[in-house]
Amino acid sequence: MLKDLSHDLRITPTRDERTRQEFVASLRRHVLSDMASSMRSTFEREVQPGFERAHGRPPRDGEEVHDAMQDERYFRFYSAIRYNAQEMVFRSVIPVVDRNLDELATRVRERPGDAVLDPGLRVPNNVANIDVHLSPGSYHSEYLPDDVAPGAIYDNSIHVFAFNQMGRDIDDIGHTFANFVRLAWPGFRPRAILDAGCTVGHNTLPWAKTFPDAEVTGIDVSAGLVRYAAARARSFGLPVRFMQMDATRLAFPDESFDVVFSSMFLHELPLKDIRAFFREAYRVLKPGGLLLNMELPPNNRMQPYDRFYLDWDSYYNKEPWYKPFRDQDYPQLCAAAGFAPERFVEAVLPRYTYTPEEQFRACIDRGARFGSRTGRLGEEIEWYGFGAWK
Amino acid sequence: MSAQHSNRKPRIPLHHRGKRPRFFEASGTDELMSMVLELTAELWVVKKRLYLLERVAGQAGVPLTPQIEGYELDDAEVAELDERRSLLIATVLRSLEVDPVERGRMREEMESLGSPAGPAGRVA
Repeated sequence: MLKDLSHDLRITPTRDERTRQEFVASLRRHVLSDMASSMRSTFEREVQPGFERAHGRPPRDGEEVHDAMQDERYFRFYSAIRYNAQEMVFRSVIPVVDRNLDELATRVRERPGDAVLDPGLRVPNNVANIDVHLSPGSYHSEYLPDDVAPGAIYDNSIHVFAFNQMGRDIDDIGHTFANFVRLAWPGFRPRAILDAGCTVGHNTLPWAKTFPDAEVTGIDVSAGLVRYAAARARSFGLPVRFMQMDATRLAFPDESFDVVFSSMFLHELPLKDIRAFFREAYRVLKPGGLLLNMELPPNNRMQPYDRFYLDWDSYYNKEPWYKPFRDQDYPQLCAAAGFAPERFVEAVLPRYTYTPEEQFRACIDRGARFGSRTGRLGEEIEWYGFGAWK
Repeated sequence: MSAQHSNRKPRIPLHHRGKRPRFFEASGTDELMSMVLELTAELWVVKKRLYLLERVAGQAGVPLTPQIEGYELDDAEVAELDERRSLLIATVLRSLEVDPVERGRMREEMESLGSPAGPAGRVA
């Protein structure tokens, strides 16, 4: 059962449209839970022993698992269904957005929120040239003046995509990492927080809720996302500013922020842009400030099968930078931007809004433990994050 | 149901740019998978609607089943159902929609991006 979005930009599907969205959400749950478990069993029972007979050793990395799995019937069905389900997420949402497009733009014009646009900004190729994760129009396409289509498509589609596993307002990631910072470093009181590549601000707003005295800013390259994000924040009564800006060229003075956060952002970037963003993050952080990125876990900390499983998106979901990012040494990425190696931080955390606080705190205390649930969307997902103190 | 069937031309594309990967060797199997999944989605939409219909009618004291069996469709209703059936068929068969020229252009797309991951699936 999918609930309506809980803010003023919600649009109402017909009963049949909502039924279709619920079907797609259920299909995703089935493929990512039931079929994913069966596929792992197929690997362990049949594929891995075969590989070991042929090579005299188990697979070394995700690529070898991928090669071994490619001809498996089960993998083909898993992939075909997952791929179709991804397409169907957007197909279940876009007609509703399309029908409401003019009215939504009017709603946002009338209650615009704190949005700062940069009409001169060139949308980078990694967003403009491909329909990222099979989203028609990618993150930025507009169809009328002052359009908010990118925001409406993203907000409504991720609602279907997440099958109720990413928080009531798709904001569990933000709550998890804001509360991680609050609980892990009680003496740290951030006054200025930046969320880079924030899309519609799902995970930006929890920072404003967790640190009500802080000035919170979200940036994204897409004007349609920024307009939508700002109006959405206003609807929740949260004073967060959204700006159209490229994270690799921040328009902020040196040492302006206590926290630079991002979530599910780095894996959409070519490596050169990740490096440029980290250098910019270092520049705009105050001494004693924190860079923190919620992301997919690094391949070098995962078992070969789990590397293969998470890298599916890079091969088949039109996310070409996903695996190149996951193949990096994350501490090295931070160090290359100027962060001292001993100031590296990382965490593997249960979902804050689904977990009693004492249990959440205990997970912080035990430190980062990687496993097959780390970064894998499902009912027991653990989020991963990393970064460094300046 | 009617809101889905407005005559206004949609502005947002429903299909993403780029090629679809091929997971099966046997020609046509990937397209069949899409058809089966779309059909299942449509079937579920209909099943839920019928379920609701029966409940709502029952609550209103209307014995639906015999009335449905005896109902005569008029010309406008026939035309509307024809259109809806065509839309259902187009949706179920959507995986066949991308034209060959577009498909050829899409095939080159991932390589041109220079991603080390590249396209691993078999190209259509």
